[in-house]
Amino acid sequence: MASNSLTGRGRWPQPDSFPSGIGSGDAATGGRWLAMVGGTALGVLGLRRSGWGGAMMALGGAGLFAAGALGLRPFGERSLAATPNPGAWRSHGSATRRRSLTPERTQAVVTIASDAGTIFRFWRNFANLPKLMPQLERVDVLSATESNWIAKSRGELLNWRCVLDRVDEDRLLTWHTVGETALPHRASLMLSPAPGDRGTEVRLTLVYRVPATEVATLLGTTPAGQAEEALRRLKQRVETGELSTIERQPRGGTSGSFREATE
Amino acid sequence: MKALCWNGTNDLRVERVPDPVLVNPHDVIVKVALSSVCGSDLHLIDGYVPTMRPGDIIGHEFLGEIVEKGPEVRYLNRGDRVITVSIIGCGHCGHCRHGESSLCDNSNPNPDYARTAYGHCGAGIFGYSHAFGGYAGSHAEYIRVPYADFNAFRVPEGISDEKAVFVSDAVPTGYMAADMAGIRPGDVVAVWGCGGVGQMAIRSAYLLGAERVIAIDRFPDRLRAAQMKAGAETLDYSRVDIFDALQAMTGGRGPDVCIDAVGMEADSASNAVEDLYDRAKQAVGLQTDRPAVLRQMIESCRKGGTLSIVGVYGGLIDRFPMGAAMNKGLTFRMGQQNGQRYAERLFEHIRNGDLDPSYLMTHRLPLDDGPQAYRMFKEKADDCLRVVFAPQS
Repeated sequence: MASNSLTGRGRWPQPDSFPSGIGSGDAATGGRWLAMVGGTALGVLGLRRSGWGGAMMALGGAGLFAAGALGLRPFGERSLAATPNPGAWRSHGSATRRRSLTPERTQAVVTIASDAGTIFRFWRNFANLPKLMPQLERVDVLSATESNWIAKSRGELLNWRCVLDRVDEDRLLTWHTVGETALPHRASLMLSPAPGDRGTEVRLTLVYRVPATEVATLLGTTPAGQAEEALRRLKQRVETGELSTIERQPRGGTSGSFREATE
Repeated sequence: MKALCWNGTNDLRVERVPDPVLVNPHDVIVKVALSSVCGSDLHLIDGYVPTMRPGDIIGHEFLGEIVEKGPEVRYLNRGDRVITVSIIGCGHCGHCRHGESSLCDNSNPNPDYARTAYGHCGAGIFGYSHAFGGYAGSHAEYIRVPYADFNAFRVPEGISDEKAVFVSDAVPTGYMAADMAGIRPGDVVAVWGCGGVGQMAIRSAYLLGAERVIAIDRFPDRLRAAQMKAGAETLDYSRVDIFDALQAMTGGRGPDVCIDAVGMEADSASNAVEDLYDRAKQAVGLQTDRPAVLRQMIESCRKGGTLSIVGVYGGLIDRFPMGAAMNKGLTFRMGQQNGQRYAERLFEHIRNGDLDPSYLMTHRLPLDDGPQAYRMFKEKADDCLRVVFAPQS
């Protein structure tokens, strides 16, 4: 499968960074841009002034620009969220203590030999997602924008509510968790035509507000593993209508008894 | 049912295992009538292909009768006599649609190993390790075939089982070696390795327009078959210097096309130092494959010529003469076979009498003789070219 998981920061250009204004926005990205723009403005003003005051302004502007460019978030990310979405990352008890200071961003991409409409419709019906994410027990669609997700977590059920942020038919779907949850996150599915006659490029982005290790503990898979597996299954479902498997196939062994091979 | 299982390096056992069942809607179950050994199985048996697990059923080249089919199978029916291409395609991904089914995106249910080792994952293969999907192989009484409409082909009336079984793997592999080399009329083709695939590559090169084919091996029976059955001129690499001989036979130009039908366990009987070097590095893990044939092909091929590689390689090689390859302007073509693309055409060649692969079957044995049969095949004893098992006998 032509799927690569692009995890964390700096490994890959991220053309589908969440557009500012969608849901909670990407606080980190918004903050960095604000710092860079503000730093530039401060620097220009400083250079136009003479004396120590101007020099200090120019120096401060340069520092602010550099901090933004390097992703140091001088003001802290929450204060720089482009359009905060109340509730998206609301603090709630123990979940707050586990939250990562830096969102865990994972991206996987795959090319599917199908039109964008077919892929979009399959994913848009969140009730289909347990077919793509084996850690999900089910997803109940509550309304046009709200859904309740129920996952298997260490022998128990873990649930969270999601709302859709943006539905750009056959192109983009974004959603995020609301209310109290142990796994606050937001996600997007972006579709774009592949060059030539190759179908559709599908990009899944997951941004968790808890460390990847926490996600792995609760769901049994890292965010990277979750994204890769979801796209692998999506591709197979859409292209072939089934999932390749070696489940229940015969095998031998020293005892000659049946042992099921794992995928 | 009975099945021949891998239980460790050089440890094959005939075991009782459960019968396969339909799992996916596009599956069929085939009652295996004939299942051939293949030179690439020796890489598994010798322990050179990782991710084998004790109990894995091996075998990937087979013919049989469909006895069960899934609800979504449209073009095949119970009772059909079919061969199945050894490398599994889904029939729908971009690669399968473009005739590159060995690069299928979907048929390998265990993609992580190949993605880590190779960057991307190729197709699943019957009985060929978990890196290639972990599918149960065909040295058994029954086998489950996924995506059956795409991978299984009805054998046309008038073609015997003994001829048809090799359309599963040896014939399309040899044919693809010749096809992707872009042979033009008047070309001289050299083929390294005169096992089943090499024999078929020789015949295919002639079918595609080669004027002369030179076959290279060191086993007299295989060279004899290459000469008598496939029509090649022959060279015994244990007796002559291959580079000198090929230049002498081609007016100093070198062969236009060089085909590797040997792969990762090549030896260098004509160069003891090189052979010792390769074996030592392989033994201590500094290289996984022995590239003696590749080196010889690069040196011998004419300037601007083409190397076509269908012998199996698994990992890393050392002392690869990239400078010679680059400065001679060589073209490399390679890959696992895309048999789904060729099966109908090959049946047509067989029906027309252009091709008769049945001579590859030098031994026909019951599955119970599996371990001994592979030993004979590996040691090339009793002029063994291919053993074919008849699991129902």
